[in-house]
This record gives sequence, structure tokens and C-alpha cells, in this order.
Amino acid sequence: MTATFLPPTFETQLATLATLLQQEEWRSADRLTAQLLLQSCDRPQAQGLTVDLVATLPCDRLHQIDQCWSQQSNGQFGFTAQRQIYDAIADGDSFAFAQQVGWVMHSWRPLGVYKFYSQLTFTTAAPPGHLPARWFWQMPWYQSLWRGGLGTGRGLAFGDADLLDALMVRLGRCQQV
Amino acid sequence: MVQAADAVIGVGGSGPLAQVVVQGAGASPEGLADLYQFLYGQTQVPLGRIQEVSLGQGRGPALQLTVGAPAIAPLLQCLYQRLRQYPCDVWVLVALGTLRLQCRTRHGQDLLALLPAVETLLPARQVFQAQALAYAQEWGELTPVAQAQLEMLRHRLQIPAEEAEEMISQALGPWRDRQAKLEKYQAVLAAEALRVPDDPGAMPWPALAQLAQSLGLTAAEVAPLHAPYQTPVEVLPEQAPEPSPAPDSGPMLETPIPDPDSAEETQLGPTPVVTRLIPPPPVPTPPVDYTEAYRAEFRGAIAASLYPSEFDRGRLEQARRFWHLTPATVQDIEQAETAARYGPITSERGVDYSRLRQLLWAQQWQEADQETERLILSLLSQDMRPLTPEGVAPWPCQDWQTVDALWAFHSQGRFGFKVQWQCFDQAQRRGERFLLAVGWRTKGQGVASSRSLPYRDLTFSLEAPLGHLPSWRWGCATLDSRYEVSEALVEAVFDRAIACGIDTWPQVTPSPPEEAAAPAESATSASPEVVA
Repeated sequence: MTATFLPPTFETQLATLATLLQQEEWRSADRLTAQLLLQSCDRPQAQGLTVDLVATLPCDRLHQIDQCWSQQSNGQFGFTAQRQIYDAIADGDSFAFAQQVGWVMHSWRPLGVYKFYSQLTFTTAAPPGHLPARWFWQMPWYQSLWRGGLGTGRGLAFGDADLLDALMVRLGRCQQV
Repeated sequence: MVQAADAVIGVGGSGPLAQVVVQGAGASPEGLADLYQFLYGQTQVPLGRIQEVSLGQGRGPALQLTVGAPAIAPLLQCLYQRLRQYPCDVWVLVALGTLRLQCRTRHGQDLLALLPAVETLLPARQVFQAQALAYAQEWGELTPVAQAQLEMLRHRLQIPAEEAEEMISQALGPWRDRQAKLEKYQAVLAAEALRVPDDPGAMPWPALAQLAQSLGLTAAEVAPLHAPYQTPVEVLPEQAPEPSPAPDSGPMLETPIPDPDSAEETQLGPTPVVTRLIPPPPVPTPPVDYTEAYRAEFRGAIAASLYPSEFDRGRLEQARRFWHLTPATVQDIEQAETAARYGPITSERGVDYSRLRQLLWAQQWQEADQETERLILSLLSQDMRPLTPEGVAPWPCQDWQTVDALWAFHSQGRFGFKVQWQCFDQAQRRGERFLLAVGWRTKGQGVASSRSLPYRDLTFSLEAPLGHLPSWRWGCATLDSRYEVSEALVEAVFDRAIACGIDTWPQVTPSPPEEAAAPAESATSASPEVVA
């Protein structure tokens, strides 16, 4: 007897995300978000988002994920919050943005490096825009090493202004539709 | 004789019959009889008796008179005369059914003042009279329909037949039917002509028109009668009254001064005295086409700004209605004129470039650049993804030309795709040199030959190098960190440009500023006189 397990659909996973957020399981929700974003782009087998992949993210899925986060966290988390901070406070400067949302380990410019993923605050005491963060932290080991990290992700690595900007540009274009 | 005694008069009754009650404190029945004799002598009061009533001053003898409604007025006037001779306090009570009108006075003036009040309290008479008059003026005689209506009304209002007849004859006048009235009018015309035999222009046309109106004769009936007394004048189309743009003459103003010559030209004969606020009936041939006039008006309205002001908008709408232009015609004119003055917005795929035109006219370069990106991505890419070199191929040429024309028009030929193409040509068709020439890359130091700018460092003003804008942000995935246009994209874009025949696109230049003054001046002088 063979059983075929179909991978769960996007809608099912979105429902799971909503449930996790409602129960304030921020860490699991963050991981699931990164997984959903990777699955939605043009190369689902990629190990991390890149600038080109971010440009291919579907607008409707981005919007749905963002809606989940914004509603369940009352606007504290989610892409909308991050974009607002990026436009208004950081004014397009990715390092200022990272400082504002609490992603940076040290505050000295230009040697600011990012925290390890486990050091992030997964409670509502976090600054606005702190989450979702996994999409930014997740990268293949060699890229992590190349950016100055320890091969685990963005921890201790230098920032990637391109990736952040790519997502912000994508969100802006999606909103113009 | 009722002298110092208080005379109380009560007038009451229902319908057209009225009851007049005269009571006097201390007045004896003999005094009242004397009063009755006096009133009978004056007004032939038909019926009167003396009886005990309680009114005003308590129970006492009173003179009760029953008079027809028309007789109330002479009765009151009679009493007024009496009071002038022998003044005493008078209490007047006028009643009609349940309505009672009271007046206590010593002087007779108040009785006179009561007369119009009495008249208005007898509405039945007024209504019937008004109706009869209306019918008479409308048809000149009582048609069978009118007669039936009046009969119905008479019964409803309970007016006696002889009174109704009297009112009808009063309304119709001495000539009871239409034919008689026409003959009378003709006779009047002849008499007037005889009065001024040497000067036919001195005939009192307004007064004659008024007579015709009160007789209930229509202009069509009366016009043939005027013919022998008017010199025939040929009506030329150019002399037809023009509603615009001359502000002095025109039927929109008050009644024009009746000019004998012009009166003979119009169909209606003498101009009626009634003020008309509508234009005269249109001349049969040929209908004047006001399209060019509207075009000139609109050109003046947009001379200063892309969108006409509120005031101009209202004025143009009134002009459109006045000149009977359809909204579709007007829209075509407006689109053509705006395109001629501020750049085209035609599109193969129905994309609306008006917002881009507005932003460029306002010289908001960054917003216009963003709008350009939005338009191009919604036109060419799925899901607003940035364009790849392969995605550039299906670009519709008409839309591309429109965007280029708008950018070039509003930047005095500094920006636009055609200018960028010329830069590319001058750079020996090499991508990197092109990017340096338009300022999207700067000369790098050290290892890198050139490096790209962040998008925010682009110069969004007219001081930018030629071809700097519009940027190609629609082909980039990042902006703030790095605005980078790949050389492959440059090649693909200009391959498509050659395919669209970019060399043949016209070099758009804006109109010189001297032209802006002239249309504005002509607009203010040629504005039509319209009543708000």
C-alpha cells in the first residue's frame, strides 16, 4: 500500500501561521514565514533569499503573510511595520533600519554586525519591526562565512543592504498594483 | 338715529350670503329702524329685521341684515359714511361659515380696511373669477371644455348662477367670442394706422401686443393682421441675432428696446413686453457651428495651467450648453487641445498617462519617475516584477513614444528615451559608456572601473545631464542600496528602440512662452455672456 503525501498547500500553511501568531509563538511563526517565502519564489530549493529571488515573490502571498503578522501583533510586527520604519525613520539607510529594529549586535559604524538569530527577542517586548527576521537571517553556510559570519546565518555577519532594499522595493511595487 | 350709542355690527353668514348685525348699546329699536331706512336708501338692502341678539355689549336689540356677498362692500362703505357724520364706537364682526373677523373701532377707516379682508374671506368668488379670467385669456372665448369646467366649479363653490354669469362676462369682456375679438383687434389696428398715416414706424407695437395678450389672441393669429402695416424686410442669416460672443446685445439680457426695424424682422412681430430669458428660436439655415469657438475658449482656459480653474470650468460648461455641443464632441476637443499644448497621452493598450503628464507639468521629476515605473510595470510585467532583458521585447511602440514625448516636452528636450538613444548612439553603442554618459554610473577609483549610484543620488532636476531621466528603475530589483542597470538590459532596450523606429520619432519641443499671453487675452474678451 502506497501513500502519497502531498506537500501542504499555501493556504493550509497560512492557516498554521495564523494559529501560531495567535498563540504568540513568534519564533515558530518566524521560521514558518521564511519557509513560505522561500517556497513562493522562483527557486523553492534555495537555501536563502537573494535579491533576485525577492524580486520574484508573488505580491498576493506577501500581502497575505503581512496581513497575518500585522493583525495578530496589532501592527507591531510584519512587513508593513518594517517598511514604515525603513521609509520614515531610517529613510532608506539599511544600517539605521537595523539599529532601529534591534538587529544589530554592536552600534559602532561601520563595524556593525548582526546578532545571532537566537539572540533576537521573540516576545512583544521587542521593538516594532523586529519580526519577521528569519527571511533575512537564513542563508547558505558559505554565504554566511563570506559575509563574516560563522556559517550559521547572519549572526556576526555584516549587513546586506541589497536584500533589505530589495524586499522594500518589492513591497512598494506590490502596493502600486 | 344712532349717534353716541355704541353700534355693534356683526357680519356673518355662509356662502355668498352675508348677515349684517347691527347692535347698539342703548340704541332703541326706533333708532335701528332709522338706521335701516338710511341703509336701504343707500344700498337697497333687501332684507332686514330687528330682533334680540346677544353680541358684544350683551343682550339687546340688533339690526340683522342679509346681504349678498357683493353687497358687503357697499354696505360697509355706507356705514363708513354714516360714521363720518355721526362717529361712535363700532364693533364689526365678519364671519364666513366658521371664520369670524372682528374689528372694534370709532373711526370709519378701519371699516374700509376691513373691505379687502372681507374680499379675501370670500375665496369662492375669487377662485371662480380667476378661473374664468384664465380661460378667457387663454382662448379668447369660453370653449365647451371651459364652460363645463366653470359650471362644475360653480356648483362646487355654491355660487348662484347670475353671479357666475356676471363674473364670466366680466372676464370675457365686451366681445364674447374669438371672432369678435379678432375683429375688434383688426379695427384697433386700422384705427391706429389712421392715427399716424405718414409714419408707419410710430405704431405702438408693445401696447398692441399687450392688447392681444389680454384679449387672449395668440401671436400666430395676430401676425397676419400686422402684415399690411409692416414693410416686408428680407431676413438674412447674418442678421439673425447671435447669442454670443458679443456681450452687449443678446437675448440673455432684459427685454431689448423695441426697435421697429428689428421688430419686423423677427417672426414674432413686435417684441413682447414680457421679459424673456431664453434665446430666440434658432434660425432655420444654416446652423452655426460653435466647435471652433469652443476650441478657442478651451485653448484660452488651459493656456496657464493643465487643468482649467473652477471658474473656467463653469464657464466652459455653460458655453457648451448654450452652444448645444454634445459632451462627446467637447471631450474630443479638450483632449486634442490638451495634447497639443501639454503632450499626448495616447496608448495602444488603453493605459492612462494623464497622471504622468500632470506630474511632469508640475516638474515633479521623482514622482514622475515613479509613475513611469508603475505604468511600465503594469503594462509589461506580470505581478510587477522588474523587467528582464527578455521582458523588454513586447513593449508597444505607441506607448513608448507617448512616454518619451511627455518627458521631452516638459523638460525642453533634455529627458526622454529619444535623448537617451542619442546618447547611446554617441557612445558608440556601448553600454558602459552610455551609463557613464547619462550619469548612472560614476568613474570609480581603484579596482572597479565604475560603480553605480544609489537611486536617491540621482539628480531630479533640469540640471541633470542629458538623458539622465527617466531612470530605468523598472529594470532594477534594488534602488536605495544600488540603482544598477545591467548592460544586457541596455542592449535589449535599444534593440527594441530600433525596432520601433526611434529615429523617426519627432523631437518634441514646447511652445514658446509668448504664445501663452495671446490666448489668455483673447479668452477674456471673447467670453460669452451667460447668466449664472
